Amino acid sequence: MCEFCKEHGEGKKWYLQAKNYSRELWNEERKRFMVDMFEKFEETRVKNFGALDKLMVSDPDAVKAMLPSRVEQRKKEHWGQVVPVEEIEQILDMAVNIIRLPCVCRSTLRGLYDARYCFGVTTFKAGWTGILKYPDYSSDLERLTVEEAKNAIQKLDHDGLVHSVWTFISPYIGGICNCTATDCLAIKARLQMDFPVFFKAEYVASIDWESCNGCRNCVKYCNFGAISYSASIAKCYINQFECYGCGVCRAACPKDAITLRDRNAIPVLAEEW
Amino acid sequence: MMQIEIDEQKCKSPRECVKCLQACPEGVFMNYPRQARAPGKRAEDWVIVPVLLSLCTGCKVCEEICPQKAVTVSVVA
Repeated sequence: MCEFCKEHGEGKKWYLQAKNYSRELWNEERKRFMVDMFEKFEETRVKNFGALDKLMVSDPDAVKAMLPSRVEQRKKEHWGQVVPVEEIEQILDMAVNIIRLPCVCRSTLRGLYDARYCFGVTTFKAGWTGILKYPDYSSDLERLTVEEAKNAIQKLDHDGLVHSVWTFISPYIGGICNCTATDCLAIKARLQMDFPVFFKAEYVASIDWESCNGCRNCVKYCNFGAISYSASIAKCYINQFECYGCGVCRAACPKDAITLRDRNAIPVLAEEW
Repeated sequence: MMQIEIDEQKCKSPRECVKCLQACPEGVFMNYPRQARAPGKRAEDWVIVPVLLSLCTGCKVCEEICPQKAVTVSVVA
């Protein structure tokens, strides 16, 4: 299991523990952190990504030296983990308050200001209201029922979007993101800048080789380039090191040949987060 | 290493146009409001900047798609 499960989940999945969504954690410090993050999101990303990019070119050794402490800091503040759709539904079942808001990454990176892919989730009647004072966000905040949110998540899953949970000062979980690698600053940071800001899922995908008909739909859906195709055997293969365990390839498979396996049950992958 | 310059005089509607932002295969550009949002206010005065320059391959899709010819991509030593 990932280190957050050990630290914040007593050995169970930390993102399924009600305590990590609880009102007790929703203190002034966290409210301020969340509001600050949304108020200054674009500006901060431009500054931080820009500085990291410049340093990667001018002094890669310096980046390597500072990375571990920066990653540890991120773990304390705003960390994520990939979570498959059925467990996102379990999280939504705990929710009292669900709002859908425009994605700040897609705004910053692609100029899409009303791309409502992000869900704010609380298990009490508050939270997220702090950002209502910002018209950029509040005009697009929608309240969803649990059923509406589940339907929306299922649709996003079928569209091939990777689901993840995010903390606002760990271990408090406040949000669910639905991303593609092209438009997500978190995936970009990890894949293109070698700066991890989230864990892979507790799972890894596996293809039932007998059932695979080699249609390659799953290859198209994978955001991590983890699936390859053998033209000579006419089957697809999952590179288990590249697989993040999001499970969206399952929805793409017409033969239901793909399942998620427990990452911890595969010796070499158990430490691969 | 690539260099990307955006002529702000020519780039007239950075918040609305965003063609270069969307067309870039590597996602090199970001936009941000120079006048930050404050309670009750929308963010204003948006500007597009090349941020992840190390990812730029020099394909010049941004140059070609810019309706104002405001983007220049060049190689620097």
